[in-house]
Amino acid sequence: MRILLAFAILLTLLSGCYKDNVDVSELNTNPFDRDYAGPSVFEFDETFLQTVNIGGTNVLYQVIVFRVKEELFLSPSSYSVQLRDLQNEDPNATATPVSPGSSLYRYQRAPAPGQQICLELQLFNNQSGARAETICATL
Amino acid sequence: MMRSWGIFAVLMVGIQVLWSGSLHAQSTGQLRFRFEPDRSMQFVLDGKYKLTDREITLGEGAHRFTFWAPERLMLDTTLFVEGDRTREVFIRLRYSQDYVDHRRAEERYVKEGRWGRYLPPVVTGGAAAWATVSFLNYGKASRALDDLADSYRTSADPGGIQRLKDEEIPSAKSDLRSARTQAFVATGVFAASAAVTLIIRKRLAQRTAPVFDDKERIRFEGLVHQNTGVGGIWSATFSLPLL
Repeated sequence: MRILLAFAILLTLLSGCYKDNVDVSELNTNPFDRDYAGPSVFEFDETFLQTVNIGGTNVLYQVIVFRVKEELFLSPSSYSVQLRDLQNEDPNATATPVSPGSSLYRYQRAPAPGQQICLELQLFNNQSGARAETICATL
Repeated sequence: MMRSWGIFAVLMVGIQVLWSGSLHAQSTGQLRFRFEPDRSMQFVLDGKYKLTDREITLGEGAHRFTFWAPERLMLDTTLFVEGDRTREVFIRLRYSQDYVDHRRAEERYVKEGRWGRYLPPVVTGGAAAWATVSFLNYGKASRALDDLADSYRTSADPGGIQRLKDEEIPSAKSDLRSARTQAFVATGVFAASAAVTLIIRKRLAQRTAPVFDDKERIRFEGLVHQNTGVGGIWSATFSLPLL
């Protein structure tokens, strides 16, 4: 019986071992979280003009290159980037990796020399986007 | 001198004749007893003789009987013996109130002992099982919350993360609170029942079984002439209540 009593005391003491250490308001360190409160995930890299031959015709584009800071990810993750051109609201505007697996992405649009072009960028997975960030570039 | 001796002898013979005549004139009858309880019944005849006979021959007339058996109430009665006849008498003695009370006390003692011996350990065992299960559930709830927190760190699904924060983690936190409360309550109940079991065990060990003090026996044996066959002895008993 004394063993049972000791067991009861032990259980009471062990009950204190489990703690609720999770504070939802402090969960804001994941870049895929809409409430992410860390440093910017997207970083402007460069912008330049590029001539592309389409069907024998040379077409001039402005290319904006930006980098996804994957080092901020809490664990290695695959992702896509959703882009919105705040200047022309083109619904077909897309960002594509410079090379497969690269963290550098490029966006090409009609050139706007001297004009600041701002892009709204979001990490995107499973039909939902993370915190939106804006980067701007001037040619 | 010789003449006086002659008169004395004649008187003595006369007295002898008269006395023997009276003896022969008193007829006797028999009483045949059936008792309940049969084995331990005793009786006192005419306030003088303590007997256990089942059949007794007595002179005609009324005789006082006091019947008694252990645990039974004494019965004081007068029976009439008819000459040259055998009479069947059935005597049944009721249990004395003291014995009835003693039996109740004894039953209570046995019942308390039985309940005290088996119920508290069963309750304590149940409480121990409940506490163990509650504690395991508490651990499971805690691990579930930790797993969700890990999911937050590994997830790359913005919608999933939102669901985690809005629904799954708050729900897991609520489950953890409930599990913790239940674990504390169950452990408390377990500890309390274990302590109560210890106390009951201790008290049971200190109990003394009720002892039957047959006061009717003392009354019965008081001032009774015991027929020893050679003369007889008078005995007297008394009891002194100390409590």
